[in-house]
Amino acid sequence: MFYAEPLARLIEELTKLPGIGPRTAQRLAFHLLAAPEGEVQRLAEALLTAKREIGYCSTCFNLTDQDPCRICRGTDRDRGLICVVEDPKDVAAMEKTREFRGLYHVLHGAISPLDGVGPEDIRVRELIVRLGSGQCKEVILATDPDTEGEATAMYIARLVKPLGVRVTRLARGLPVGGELEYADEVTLSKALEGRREI
Amino acid sequence: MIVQSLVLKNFRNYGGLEFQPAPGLSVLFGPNGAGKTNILEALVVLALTRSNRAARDEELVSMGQEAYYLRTSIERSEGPGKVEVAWEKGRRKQFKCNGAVVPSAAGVVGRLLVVFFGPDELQIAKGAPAMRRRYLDIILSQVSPTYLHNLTQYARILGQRNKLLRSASEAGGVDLAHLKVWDDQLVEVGSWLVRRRAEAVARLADEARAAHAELASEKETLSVTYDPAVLRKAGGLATPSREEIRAAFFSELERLRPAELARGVSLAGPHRDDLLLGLNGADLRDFGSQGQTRTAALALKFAELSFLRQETGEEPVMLLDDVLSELDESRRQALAGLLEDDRRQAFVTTTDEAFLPATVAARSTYYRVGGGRLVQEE
Repeated sequence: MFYAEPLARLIEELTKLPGIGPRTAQRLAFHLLAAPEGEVQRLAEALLTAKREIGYCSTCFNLTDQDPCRICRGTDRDRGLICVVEDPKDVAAMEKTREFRGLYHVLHGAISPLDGVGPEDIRVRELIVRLGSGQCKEVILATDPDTEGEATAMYIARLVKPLGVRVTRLARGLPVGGELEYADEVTLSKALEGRREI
Repeated sequence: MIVQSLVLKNFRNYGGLEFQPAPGLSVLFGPNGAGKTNILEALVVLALTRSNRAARDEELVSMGQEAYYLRTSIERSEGPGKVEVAWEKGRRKQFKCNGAVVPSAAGVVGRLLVVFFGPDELQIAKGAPAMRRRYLDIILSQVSPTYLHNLTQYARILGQRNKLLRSASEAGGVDLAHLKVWDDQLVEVGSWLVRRRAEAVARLADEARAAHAELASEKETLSVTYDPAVLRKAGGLATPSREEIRAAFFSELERLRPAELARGVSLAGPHRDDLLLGLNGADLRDFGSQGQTRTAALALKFAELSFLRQETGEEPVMLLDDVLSELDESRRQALAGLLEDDRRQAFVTTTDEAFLPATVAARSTYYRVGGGRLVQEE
């Protein structure tokens, strides 16, 4: 044991965090030890409060401290539009655009048999139940553009279409602000596939 | 295309090697185990991002090391280029092109074009179908990053689908709606691959037939036909459209569904494709003599070379690994004919310089290989 037990324990706990190796954990631990007690207190409280008060919204399953969440309660939201995403980080990304005024549905994952995740392991059934109210006119599938996200989108589309709800998928293609000649060939060929009439 | 420099760090038996190869023919000679093939392998990793001999990068790193690094500077007709591959244990392999990080293999493959010819390639006509699929995949990946991307996607989808089928066969049932989404993706990406392979084989077949006519001593005609697994039941189609492939693929999945669910594995798709090689109409796999299959292998390699050149406008770098000693005099002469071309750079490994025909010896530079070093011989 190179360090006194409380310090060793702190380092050990920090190492468990994603993206934190032993060296970073050590640096963080020393930083915390050197910091004023008030600052450390605030961090500890923030950790506990977040853990205690954040839960899932019973409607959209986004993370929230109130149920239903702010977005689901929002009076300025278009209730005819639901954007389906894989996880809460995607909600934050969509919200940053300030362009989308509909509601969300967070699946908490994507279908991936290799990871033991089937359709029943993500919040698909809850989405179908939600659509039962008849308020929603369009479902936008905004799962990741990878194999698993695509499978998830297809699965949901097959279930939702028979309900008479419009189903759309986010487009993929050229990044905005980029120059065509610098786009990689794969992106360019996908953009070509997804071209549209103007 | 000319490889101007090659750097190996902690790769196989090379702790640190910097090599400025000759623009013509570099003959790497030395005893078995000296590390001749490792040089060619480094070029293969730089060209294709993975080794043709080792399945895992752990095998490529020098004994007792945790990371390897490869770099090459290339002169292409469009100007100079640089490719770097860096691997560290426990991390994702990193690729750079002209100093800039590229996120995936599809951004690297095709920068350095190679045609590799070793003892395994001599078996291509008689070997397992996987060898012939690999032949096609390497050619097409080098001319089309989209092909490589879709091939990688296909492997991923296949892995997911196989896992689902396996669990279904263990559980004795499947959520059909779930299986369908993997069917759809398998067909979507798979039919793209089949279409691209069909186009390529039509042209490779012409090239291979022409090359074979020059090589073969007797009057024999080599035919190369693409045999896509999803069209086998339909009796094959000469130039199937994407729609026809898609329709055939779906009906094969339908037909094989019970078998797939029972065995827990995907039975239809381009992962079961083959190339049919015929000599005067007879199947080479069944009737070919050793000489005939080798001539066919040589013809396929010649076809690969001209296909790559026509598609990219670049002259690929030839890598001949210990293959001269495996060929008889007339075939060796034919191969040497390729090496006489002034525009073509080639790397040849051999245990014995005597295998090198006199015609090419003149434009060759000799390097003695051993102890993790290359020493140029006068």
